[in-house]
Amino acid sequence: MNPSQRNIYTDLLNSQVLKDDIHELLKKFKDLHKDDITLSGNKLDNINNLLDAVTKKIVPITDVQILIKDSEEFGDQYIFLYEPLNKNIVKSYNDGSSIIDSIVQPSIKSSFPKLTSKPTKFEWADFRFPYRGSKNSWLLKMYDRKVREVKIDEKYDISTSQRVVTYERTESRLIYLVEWNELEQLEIKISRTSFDSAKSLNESLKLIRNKIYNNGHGIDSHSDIKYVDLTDCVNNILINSSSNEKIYKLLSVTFTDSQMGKASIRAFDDQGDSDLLAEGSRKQAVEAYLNGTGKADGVVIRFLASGSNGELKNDINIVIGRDGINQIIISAKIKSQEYKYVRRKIAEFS
Amino acid sequence: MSEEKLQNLAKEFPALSGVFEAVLEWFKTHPSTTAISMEIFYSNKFKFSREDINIAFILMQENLILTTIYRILDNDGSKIGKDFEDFNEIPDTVDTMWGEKKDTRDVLIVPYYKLLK
Repeated sequence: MNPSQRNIYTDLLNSQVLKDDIHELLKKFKDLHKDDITLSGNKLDNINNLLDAVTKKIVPITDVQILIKDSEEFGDQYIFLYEPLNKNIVKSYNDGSSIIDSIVQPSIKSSFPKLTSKPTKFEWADFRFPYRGSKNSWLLKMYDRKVREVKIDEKYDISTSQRVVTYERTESRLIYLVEWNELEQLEIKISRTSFDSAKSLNESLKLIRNKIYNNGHGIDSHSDIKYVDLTDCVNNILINSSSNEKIYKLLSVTFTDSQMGKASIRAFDDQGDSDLLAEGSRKQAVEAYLNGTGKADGVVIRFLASGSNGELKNDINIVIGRDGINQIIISAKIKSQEYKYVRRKIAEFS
Repeated sequence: MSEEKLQNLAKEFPALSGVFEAVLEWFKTHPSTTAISMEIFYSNKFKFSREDINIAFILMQENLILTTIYRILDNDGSKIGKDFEDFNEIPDTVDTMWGEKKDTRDVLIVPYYKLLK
């Protein structure tokens, strides 16, 4: 690994991967290489130790790549769910080879995966088919760049009559994923940044849908597919919260009433110490909406590790329906098996 | 135990006894709450001077009745994530309950005072 590659891996591990996960990978090799692997230290110490271990051929570089890949693909993202209109579309989407050929040129496809690229603009990054052991599933991955400039200083120089304004520039690598899953649903996933807005999210969604459309050759997301409506899931989560108290805690809910008025009710915080319905006034308000004409259209829940039969390492907060009826938000970076658990539970509640 | 310590402080600093009593009363009427903001006592519902409140809170910390924690608040005053005992442990970004990722430069970090048992 040359210094330039090492810098790229350091950046990616630092920005995309949790310290715990780097630590876990190091731990796997600790027993056989006690002198070379150090588990103590901060995140950067762990990253340096891991990359040293790669250079010494103790840890395979593919293990580091899998770590980055999984961290990019599970959690810390907005997920939008779609379903095909009919069986013919399902059949064509099941054919991943034809799908990728209709969207991405062979010359670009041959450079996949582009895990370590630093995008300056939109670019195709990877395609996997079959995906995660499901013969008809596939995953298409893209990168993009998002820039935020924040004014941090402004000075006026009387002698020269000049105003000097200093901006700090923050760049984020955006990860877009389009997945055709084993439930025959199309998922569009967009990674989160600390400077997202409803407008920027819509623009990302529009860009992805346009790219996979490929001037009519690829996926027609306007004609072929429809939003998956998660409002039944939201209401089931709310109504059945006491019988599912070991599985999740209810944290917040939004309602729309018959005159399209909105109400939002929330617990004190999102740590799960107190359920939304644990306080009498909140419980009465929720019941008033449910017994009246109000319909819940958004919910925040905390899936509990203690009630997951070991499938979750930590509690995970999930938002459903914040910006649309087909949207799920997972704030934390999670493991692939945790993602599977969350999606399975949401499907069960639907 | 905190109640006893507060009563002792009130005897030692009678001019501030009103603040100590008000803090104790507040925790009694909010039994599920573990931390308090000084801001509560700055309102016109309480007749204490700002200086007295500040001194009383310093004394309560020195006497291990209260300890400082840092709470992250959103624009609407709602709490974001967990509280931090060490300011340096606050991460660069935090997540709101409704899934918004925020730079800590864009949120309020407010000292709160936790009641020690």
